[in-house]
Amino acid sequence: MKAKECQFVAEPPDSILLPKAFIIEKKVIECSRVVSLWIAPLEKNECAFKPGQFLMVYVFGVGEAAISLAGNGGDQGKYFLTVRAVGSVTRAIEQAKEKDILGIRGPFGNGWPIQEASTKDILLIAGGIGLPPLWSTIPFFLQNRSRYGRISLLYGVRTPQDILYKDKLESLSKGKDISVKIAVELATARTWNGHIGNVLNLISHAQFSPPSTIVFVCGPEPMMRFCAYTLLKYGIAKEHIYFSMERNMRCAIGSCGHCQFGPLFLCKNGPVFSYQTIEPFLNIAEI
Amino acid sequence: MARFGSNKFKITKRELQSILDALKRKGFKTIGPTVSKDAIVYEEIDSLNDLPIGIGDEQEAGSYRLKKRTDATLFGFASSPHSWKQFLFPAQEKIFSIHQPTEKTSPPLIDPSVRQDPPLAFIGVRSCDLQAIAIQNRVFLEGPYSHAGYKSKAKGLFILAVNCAYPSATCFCSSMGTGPRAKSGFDLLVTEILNGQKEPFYLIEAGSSQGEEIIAQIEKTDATEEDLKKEKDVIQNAEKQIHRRIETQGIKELFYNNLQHPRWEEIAQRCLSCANCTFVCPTCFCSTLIDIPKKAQEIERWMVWDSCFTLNFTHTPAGSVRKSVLSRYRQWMTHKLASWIDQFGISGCVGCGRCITWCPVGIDITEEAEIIRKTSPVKTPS
Repeated sequence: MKAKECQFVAEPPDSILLPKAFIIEKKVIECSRVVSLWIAPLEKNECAFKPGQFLMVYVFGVGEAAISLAGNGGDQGKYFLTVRAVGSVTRAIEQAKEKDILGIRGPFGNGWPIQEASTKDILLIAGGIGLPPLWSTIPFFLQNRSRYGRISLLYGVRTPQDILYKDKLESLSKGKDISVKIAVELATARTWNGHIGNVLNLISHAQFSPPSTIVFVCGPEPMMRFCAYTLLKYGIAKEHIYFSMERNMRCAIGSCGHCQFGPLFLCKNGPVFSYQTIEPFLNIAEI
Repeated sequence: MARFGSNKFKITKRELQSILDALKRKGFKTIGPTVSKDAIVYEEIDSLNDLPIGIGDEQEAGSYRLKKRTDATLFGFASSPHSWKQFLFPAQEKIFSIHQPTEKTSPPLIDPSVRQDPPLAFIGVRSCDLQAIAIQNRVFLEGPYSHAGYKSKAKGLFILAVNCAYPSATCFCSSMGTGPRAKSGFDLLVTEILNGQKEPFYLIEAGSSQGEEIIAQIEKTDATEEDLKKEKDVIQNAEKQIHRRIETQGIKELFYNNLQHPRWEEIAQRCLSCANCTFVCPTCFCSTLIDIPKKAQEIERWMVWDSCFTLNFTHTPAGSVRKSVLSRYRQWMTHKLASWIDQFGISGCVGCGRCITWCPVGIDITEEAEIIRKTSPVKTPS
């Protein structure tokens, strides 16, 4: 995968709120209420993406939702998205068919600090639908595998049926590049032949050297908070733990005000922040 | 670069009308204060006769009344329920219309909304509102992306400012460092001086070359020492009428240190979460994008004002983040007085007092800020 970095202010200001037409080339049902889409621009799209960025996906007559990029859709300018149907827009995306047209704005946001991961051990910790934004980093790590230390993907889901990207995870875990560990919360030895319990329990099974480890976490906010508490106990520095945060997003360009988290606009300052940056506000309810 | 403001001239009301005419001849849409439904509002004006001649106001927390003055001032009132924000950042604005062919596999046709509005001239902008415009310029024009609709209107804007002579009881600009004297951000600045007469005269100065051009065209005399002293008196008198204040020393840290202060709960018991304060505020900038169905297969997408006081504002798949009124009021006030400084290098409050006047239960931001400061467990140096 080759990504050309998407420059800010690449768009003329007038067009930043106008969606561009993308066609759904392929759709796969991942599990109940979760679909993956491979989408391609109808017109040439110069904008590649950084892992951890997001798109605004517009469904005609329904509205727009912020969706994290799960990866490149195969070629330059194409995108791969995994969407869970939870609201009106994401339900409409779930029901879209191959060859249907979606409106796309973006990519937006800062993305994961991939450069900073050089020479370090890497923990990727995902909870549920938090996997896709982390998934977008994997091709980048694999492409320059020798640049990094040990890499572990720790993935927590509710039930065995909720596991996304099953085949891809299986082939990834067969290789030596990335250690893949999955924890299922609601399972018995009969339904799940692996770790049963919380994703946090997987941390003790991962191999990493705390002083030179970087952690990317994406999942429900409480899960991310508890991840940080656990990682701090291992001696991982606050500035080496990164969260991908979620809030309501409407404009994605830092002007509508919805995604504010303390002084931060998630869309233009984030959505990826170090624990160090957000700690003062993370433990305040309803901030 | 030419220095402005060094030359002040004395003019009459008639010449002020000539300025209005000159602006209209140049193609400006002139907007100024006028009386409508027992309030002073900003609307398009044709002549000075549209202004609130001899009308003042009385304001208190949760209260606004017009009153007749005994003179013929044009600017004898304080902040109104309107602010200039509605012209640069309209409460609703079409972004584009979109036509979806019947089969979903055909690309929708997007027709971006192209506006060719005439340039605007604001007549009678107070110092607090000049600062509010400067703040919104930062918010909308200096980010990674600029706001195209705002930019198109702010670019050709002409401002005739007026030094505030009659602040209301809810004003606190002097403590925010934003008034009552206008310092910058105007093309022309006038001071209305009564001098014991019914009819006022005006001192005028230019703040831009465009303003200078206008002054060059009108009948005027040089302001005398005595005139300048009278102008000074007007400002000093206005300052004396301002009693409310917010102590701004260390205010960012004060609010960041007090996100869990018990006072928020006390305010939340009174706050109706009605969003009035955010709509009258000249700097509040939150908006949302909505789809409006027009006819079959055709939709318009509009940008409309939104407010952090609504429950939906923070809606996520996991529910609203700010469910309680406490958290919504805290977000508004902390944003305005503290996190705004981190975001834009400037306070989001200009001390215009609108949020106090137009709060239906009279919550007073100056009072709440003071209580939090006085009872803060962490002392902020002041």
